[in-house]
Amino acid sequence: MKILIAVDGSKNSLDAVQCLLDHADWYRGKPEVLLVTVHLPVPKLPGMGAAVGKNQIQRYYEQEGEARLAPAKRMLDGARIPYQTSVLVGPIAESIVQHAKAKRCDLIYIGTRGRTEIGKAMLGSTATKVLHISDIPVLLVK
Amino acid sequence: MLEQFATQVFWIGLLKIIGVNIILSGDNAVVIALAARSLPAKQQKAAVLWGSGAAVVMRIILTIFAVALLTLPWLKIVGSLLLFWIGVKLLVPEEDEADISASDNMIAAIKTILIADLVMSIDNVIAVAAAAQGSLTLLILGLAISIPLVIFGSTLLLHLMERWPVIITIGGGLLGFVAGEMLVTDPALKGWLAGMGVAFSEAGKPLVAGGLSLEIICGIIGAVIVVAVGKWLAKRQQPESRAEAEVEQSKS
Repeated sequence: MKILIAVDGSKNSLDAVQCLLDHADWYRGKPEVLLVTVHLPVPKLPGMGAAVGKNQIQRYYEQEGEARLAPAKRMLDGARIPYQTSVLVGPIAESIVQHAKAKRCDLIYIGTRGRTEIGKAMLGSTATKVLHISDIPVLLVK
Repeated sequence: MLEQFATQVFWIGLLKIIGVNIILSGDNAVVIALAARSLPAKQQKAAVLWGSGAAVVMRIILTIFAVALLTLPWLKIVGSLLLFWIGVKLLVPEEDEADISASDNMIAAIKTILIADLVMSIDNVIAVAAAAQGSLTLLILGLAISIPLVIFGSTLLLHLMERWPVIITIGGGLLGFVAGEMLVTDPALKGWLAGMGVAFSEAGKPLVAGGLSLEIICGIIGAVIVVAVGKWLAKRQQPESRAEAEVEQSKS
């Protein structure tokens, strides 16, 4: 059983992790967990290349991503569930689904409430979009 | 001096400068936020402070020069064409990302912030100078209010631009608007416009039939042109380009 779990560092998104921990015994053997967060790409502006290098932007993604993953990592560590982490860069829902497909995951775990209420209202929920575009079963955690 | 503050024109002008500066400083904010990150946490604040402090002084001096230059005939036309070009370029994503090694010493980071500011604020300088319409009070007040907002909000601004890239389009449109406005107020065009049947208000503003301001009309046309051309070029450059990078790490 290979499970992708997407978090954005918010308390709400950790509910999905908690749900996985609570129900880990649903699965035969320990599930294989891919812990993922998605960072939106930095806008590419003229002249930026003169001051900011590729690796600097890469490092920015890594640092921000790690910070968002950290609380979920602690939870999984505490429950002794092995996992792999990735920081993806791109449009949020598409990146999650694409990654799950590429890694042949059996299930996507995602919280229904994300980082900001305003963001949710304006973007439409990321979870809804994942649900729409995914061929892989999606588990929404409310 | 004091009665200046009471007029509506003054407040509209001030809001315009602040708005133009904040939107057009998005690119600078991105650089400041990213450049400071390569430093150890303790030095980040100091680098941002010194880097931006110097940048502010530089910006004010450059803008004052620009205001003086814009009173000369033809230079508004040149400036407006430059703004059109910068506006269009803003909307076309940059292809090549150079492999610049991140600097982890403070002087280098400050230098990066300064150089970036110099290169990237030509648009702001011209646009703000144009928006100030010759008033130094407006200019200094506007800059003094908006620059600290940009500096201390640089990370926030970066996140906003990631989430809503349309901010960049708005910035491009605003550049086009200011460029269009500036174009028709060049003193060199005054005689020609008068020959075309354009009347001038007491303050020397061009008006077309019906009392509509020619500046605003040209501004809107300019904004539309910049956004249309920029979007078209961006589309032609590559259909649907998105950064696809990944940072992976295993742990078991």
